[in-house]
Amino acid sequence: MTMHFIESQNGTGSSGTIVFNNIPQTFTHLQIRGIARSVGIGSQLYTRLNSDGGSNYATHHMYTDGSGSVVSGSGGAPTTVNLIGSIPASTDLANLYCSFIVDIADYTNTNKNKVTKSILSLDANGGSVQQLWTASSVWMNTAAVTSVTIVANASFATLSNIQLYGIVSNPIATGA
Amino acid sequence: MPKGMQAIYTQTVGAGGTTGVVFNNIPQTYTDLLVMISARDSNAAGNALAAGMFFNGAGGTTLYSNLVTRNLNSSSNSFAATNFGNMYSYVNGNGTTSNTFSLTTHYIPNYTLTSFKQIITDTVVEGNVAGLDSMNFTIASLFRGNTPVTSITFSAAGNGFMQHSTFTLYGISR
Repeated sequence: MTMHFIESQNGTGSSGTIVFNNIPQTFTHLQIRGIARSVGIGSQLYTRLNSDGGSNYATHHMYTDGSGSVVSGSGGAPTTVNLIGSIPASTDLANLYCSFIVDIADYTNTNKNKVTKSILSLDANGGSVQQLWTASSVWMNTAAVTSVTIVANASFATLSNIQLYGIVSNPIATGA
Repeated sequence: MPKGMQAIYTQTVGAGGTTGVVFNNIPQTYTDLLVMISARDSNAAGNALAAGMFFNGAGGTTLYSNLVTRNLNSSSNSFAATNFGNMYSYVNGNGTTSNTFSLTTHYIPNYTLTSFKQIITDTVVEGNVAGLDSMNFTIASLFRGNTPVTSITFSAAGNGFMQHSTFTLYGISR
């Protein structure tokens, strides 16, 4: 088996932070999967690595709302977070959650800054809240990733759930 | 074959680099393939560079086409190409932010079928050097070959893939 479940956490309704600490250093890549909704205002979803809140990230994103236009931008040069996308507010369509996948490659490799890519889906059967995001980021630090913090501007609803998986690359051969 | 995802081959580029990476003799016992790449090109002129991918040695033919959406330096657009010589992703050039490697996934479903192959590619190049590109491409590619995929070749468009670049092939079974 190559993809291994590590940990899962649910929203509490009173916190906009979910943290995966003490990440095992035995895998090659990490993947974060989740669904999320805010209990308050409309919010954006971010990650931080190793609790680094300093201006050590470069990020770029692109999203569409289905209107035919695509919005793209960057998170400053540099910025303090890795932006993933938008999550629905408590006033949005009932039972609506976004879903997202974040990949972090070679997270234990101390020769590499840590690059992430993500996709976030928020279809809402029309309306202004719906968006489809793709984003990328580099954390300009070659340290191994030992924790990942997922942050929203407002608290996560209790049915929000985020899971962490580890992917190994111990194959049979090189194939050369 | 156990269900799920299994690493089949991996290659890590050593000191001195390499101009290409090949996975030969791909087992035909899975349903889908997934390639994950973390790479950097040694071209010192700097910017993001293309990395070609083709199947079964069929590079330089006109068997490929693609449909692209991209975010290039915070400007987005889309385009398409027909009768192309290969599929592609992007890698960091050696003038981009140091120690930073691209991240690419190629998803190749139903690779053993005797029909055309539809490939989904997601490739990102990140960095923080003024005047150099950062990009996020999502690419739909078509390989108009009716034979199963038995080998995959990756070729660097610049000077070659640098040390610590990694290429891993996974097989996915249902």
